[in-house]
Amino acid sequence: MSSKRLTLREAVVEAIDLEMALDPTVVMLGQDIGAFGGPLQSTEGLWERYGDSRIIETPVAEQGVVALGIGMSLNGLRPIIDLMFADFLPLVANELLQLSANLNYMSNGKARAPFVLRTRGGDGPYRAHPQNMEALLSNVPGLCVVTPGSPAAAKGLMVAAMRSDNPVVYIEPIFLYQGPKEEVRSEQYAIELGKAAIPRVGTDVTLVCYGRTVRLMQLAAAKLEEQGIDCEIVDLQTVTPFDRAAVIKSAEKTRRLVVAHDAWMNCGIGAEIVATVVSEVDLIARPVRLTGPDVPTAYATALRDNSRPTVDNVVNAVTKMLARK
Amino acid sequence: MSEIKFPAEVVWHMYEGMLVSRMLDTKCFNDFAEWYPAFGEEAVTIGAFGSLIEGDFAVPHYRGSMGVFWLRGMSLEQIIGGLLFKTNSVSLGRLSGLHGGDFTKKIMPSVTNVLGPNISSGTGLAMAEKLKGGKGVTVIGFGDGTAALGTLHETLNMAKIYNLPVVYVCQDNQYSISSRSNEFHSWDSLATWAAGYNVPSSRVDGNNILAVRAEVDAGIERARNGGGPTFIDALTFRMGGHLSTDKALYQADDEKLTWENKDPIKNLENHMLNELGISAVEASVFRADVQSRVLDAWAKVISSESVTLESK
Ligand SMILES: Cc1ncc(C[n+]2csc(CCOP(=O)(O)OP(=O)(O)O)c2C)c(N)n1
Ligand SMILES: [Mg+2]
Repeated sequence: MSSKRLTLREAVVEAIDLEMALDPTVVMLGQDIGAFGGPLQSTEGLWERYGDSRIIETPVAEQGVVALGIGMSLNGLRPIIDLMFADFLPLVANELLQLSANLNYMSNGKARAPFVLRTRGGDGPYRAHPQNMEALLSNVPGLCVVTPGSPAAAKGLMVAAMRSDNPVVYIEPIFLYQGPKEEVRSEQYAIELGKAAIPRVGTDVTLVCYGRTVRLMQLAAAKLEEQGIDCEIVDLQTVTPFDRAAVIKSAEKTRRLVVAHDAWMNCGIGAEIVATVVSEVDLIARPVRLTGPDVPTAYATALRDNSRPTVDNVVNAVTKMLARK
Repeated sequence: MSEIKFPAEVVWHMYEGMLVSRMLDTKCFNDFAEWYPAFGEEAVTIGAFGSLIEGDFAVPHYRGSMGVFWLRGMSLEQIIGGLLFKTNSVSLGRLSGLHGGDFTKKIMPSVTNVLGPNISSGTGLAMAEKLKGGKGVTVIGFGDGTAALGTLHETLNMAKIYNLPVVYVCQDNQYSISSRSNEFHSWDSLATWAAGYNVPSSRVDGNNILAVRAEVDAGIERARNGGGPTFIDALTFRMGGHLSTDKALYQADDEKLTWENKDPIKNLENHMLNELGISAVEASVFRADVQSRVLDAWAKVISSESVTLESK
């Protein structure tokens, strides 16, 4: 079985490339996705292969473009709508939340919108658009929100998103975009939506994460292992609707819970995870949420770089939790 | 360069503004990996906002905004403080330099880098001014790419029906990142769109600051006299990439050359030399003076306190 070392960005592009070759109904809409190669090189090589009829460049008109894509998906195509950055999700919230999310249920399954809205979110080497908007989309039923935490996950999740018969918002973490690389299987494969992954099995504490914090938890778990603490990592992969069964099962085993995400705390994904776990599981320590602070995301690097949960934050939270026994 | 005449001191001030803008951009372009320069577009920014007086509002486009900040009386130190995230800047170092307009000087800051909302909320400033019976006029700048957003269209309609004192100036550099404006908009000139909303509109040579300023002045006068909104498409060219790291390979060589020859700063210098009898030496002494003021201010600010999470 062949494989290649790819960045997360390259893995997403490969998934789209192979799927466009397999399925002629997959088309893409977005700004600067043609010869320019897409924002942060997110469509590199696709226009050269599939041309103007399938890689369709748009004006700066996000609301209209998302609604256009939804309409296209209702009429036989599987559009991928490339929204340059997750900062623009609030701009298209109406189309996503009140149109696409409702279609399946309200039409009793007669009008289905199989599109993917892909976008890039969170801080990272590219400093311009740092915000995390996943919680905003998660409060409304009917949307599936996915964030990969590694190149291999990125490929499989994108394939599943493109094959889903319902709307999927796929947020690519900018922090992991251009590295580190990982071996990614070359054949096309899908990772089931709504299912978490357990990249590390352990017994002492459950670390729930997605996107950038998956790597963070892995680094923290390695440090904690040196102290004899055995962490279990639950990578949600699908942020909404999240894999309740997997989270609860892990928490039942370890009875300790830490959740980390870069997005704000208030009404965030972490709150939902903690609420779910404490209502189902008797934890032996108070659960901890590690998040960005509840202030607007500033431009200043000194402010941003000190606003993300760190490996040390996780290590400290876990050691404190275990000391309290 | 044109029939349009302005008093010599006004011309010198335009010249100074364009040089400040160009020199700040050059410094940022060289020092920062992520920078969005307005090279070649200075006649639009400095021309469009040069006639505003106290009580008027400036809502600049992000590209070239620092020239507008300077025109509205922000000091070089304040502007550079914003660029370097210093606590003595107007945003306490929170906003990026090019978004950090001082609202107390009636400059609208850009607190979101999502394009569009400032066009409509800027129009809200004008609406309040009208309802309060004030005389203030609002000038709003934005890019040609941004013009495709629905919010501009909703806003133009409202500006007209409420007869608001506002002048819209499109900083039409013909590109949105790599996309050529004429391939993504169904217009001959953006002015034809505005005309569809019955807003008086025109296209102007955006590399000729005298022409831009005269056209905007007419709009400001209309607005001040209760004549409602004006729309100006100032045609110019983005000399270079969208940001520092973009080599703009999608711009054709002859296109680049054509526009380099229309550099708005050189245009104005020619006017000063030919029409105002200013010598080349005078101009170059002036340029050197502006340059050293920019670099001195930079050197002064760089060692001042940087923002931290504890800054208040
Ligand atoms: C709503 C929205 N869509 C896309 C972007 C990404 N973006 C940043 S600058 C830019 C170019 C916009 O072109 P234009 O309005 O012509 O301004 P210019 O950069 O040419 O000065 C784009 C598309 C954004 N900031 N906001
Ligand atoms: Mg433009």
